[in-house]
Amino acid sequence: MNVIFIDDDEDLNFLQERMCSRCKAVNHYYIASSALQTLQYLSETSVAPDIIFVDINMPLMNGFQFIEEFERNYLQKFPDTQLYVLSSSVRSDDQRRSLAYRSVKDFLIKPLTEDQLLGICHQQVNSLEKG
Amino acid sequence: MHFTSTLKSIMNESIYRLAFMRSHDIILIADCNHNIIDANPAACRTLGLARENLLAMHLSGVFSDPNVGNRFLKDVCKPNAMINHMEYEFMTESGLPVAVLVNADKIDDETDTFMLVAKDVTHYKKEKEDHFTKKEMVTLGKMAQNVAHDLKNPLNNIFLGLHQFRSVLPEDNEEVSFYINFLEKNSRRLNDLISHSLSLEAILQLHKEQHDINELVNEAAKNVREKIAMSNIILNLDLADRPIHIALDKEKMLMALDNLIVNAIESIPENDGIIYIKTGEKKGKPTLVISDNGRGIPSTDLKNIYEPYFSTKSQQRGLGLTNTEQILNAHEVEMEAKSELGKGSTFTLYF
Repeated sequence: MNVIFIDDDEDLNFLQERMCSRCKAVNHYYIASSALQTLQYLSETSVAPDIIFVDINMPLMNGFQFIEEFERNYLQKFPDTQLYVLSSSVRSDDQRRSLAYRSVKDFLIKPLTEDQLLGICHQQVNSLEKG
Repeated sequence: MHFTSTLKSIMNESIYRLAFMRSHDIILIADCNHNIIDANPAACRTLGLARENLLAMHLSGVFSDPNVGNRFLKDVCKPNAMINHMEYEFMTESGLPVAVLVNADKIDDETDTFMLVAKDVTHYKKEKEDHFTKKEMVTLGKMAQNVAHDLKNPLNNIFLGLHQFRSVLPEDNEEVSFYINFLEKNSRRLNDLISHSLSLEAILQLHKEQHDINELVNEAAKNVREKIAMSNIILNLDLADRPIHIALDKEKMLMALDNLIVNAIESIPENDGIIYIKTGEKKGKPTLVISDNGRGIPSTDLKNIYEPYFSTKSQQRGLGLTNTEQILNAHEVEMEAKSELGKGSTFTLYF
């Protein structure tokens, strides 16, 4: 699985990088500290990401803006990519809004553990095989 | 010549009389001996008293607190006194408070007579107070959510760090397990503490009791009846046959319903407006549906309607739906908004 994590919390990024490096289902990962950095990466890469985990509250470009930008400009290039919103938000409005995007598969509450990551990767493998 | 000026003065007087009779503001003529000499129809109407009863009263008796009335009389009877735009509270015959703005001036020094003009600002004051309450609630709710979010981020890191730490530590070491469990338990405690103490339910200080949703709708309809009457809109209630009892904070939930109904009223541009409120059950949950045939909300705006200060209506302050959403959130009531431009909007509440 090719996985991207977008979060502005450097400590969390450190932990998520460790997690990805250990998770057997993940063979390629990109840890980005901003949405803009991710868009830059997406425009340059030829490897389709399977899963993108994105935080909501981030400076400059928040998670929602990123999802909108992704749907506008990258959905055609990467039609099988699944987005997950990963947030510690307690606002149910954030959840509702996240799930309204067609590219968003689920709204997850932090922290995402290695077991959960593994589960999501398996799910994605299954849906790709079926699709 | 003399005749015309007399006629003029009679005419003038009758005009003054008319102004006195027709004024929307309370006008009382009183003297410094506590007597009410005359009262206009607006005074009788607002205070709920017949003129002769009002004239039989002491002036201090129209004030909620007679001591305040006595002090007022003392002030207005001082030489060169002028009372300008002072806030007082009067009381109706049936004991309801009336917030008034008072102007008072001596009109005759010899007889110590003065005129008191009072504007009923109860409605205006209530609206202003409601707005402030709403604003306070919205601000507090937002603040609490932001603080909760900011506290949870590093806490999640601790939690995740411990989780990963555990997986690289030897499983059979009892002491290591003890400390990891201990740290995990306390992170969890902290997390629960943040969730509970900064939840909207705690911030909005809900006092929940069992209430029938049908009755709540009836009460909300009563609250907006003046607005409905003024706007030529039909309010259609379609309530479930049986009472639907839910534990909720009546005052706050009424506020949320009022917001939704007012929102519907304001979305209807001209005549022929219909607002339809239905209670019942959907997907196994008690529901309340409010729909209108108003302007509707463009789909691009639909996702922003809960944002504070967002409004598609130019004169509005944009707090209504944020406030509603927070109240519903605090009650764990889900709200679904559907809208079609030019056709109207439907809000469904799942209890």
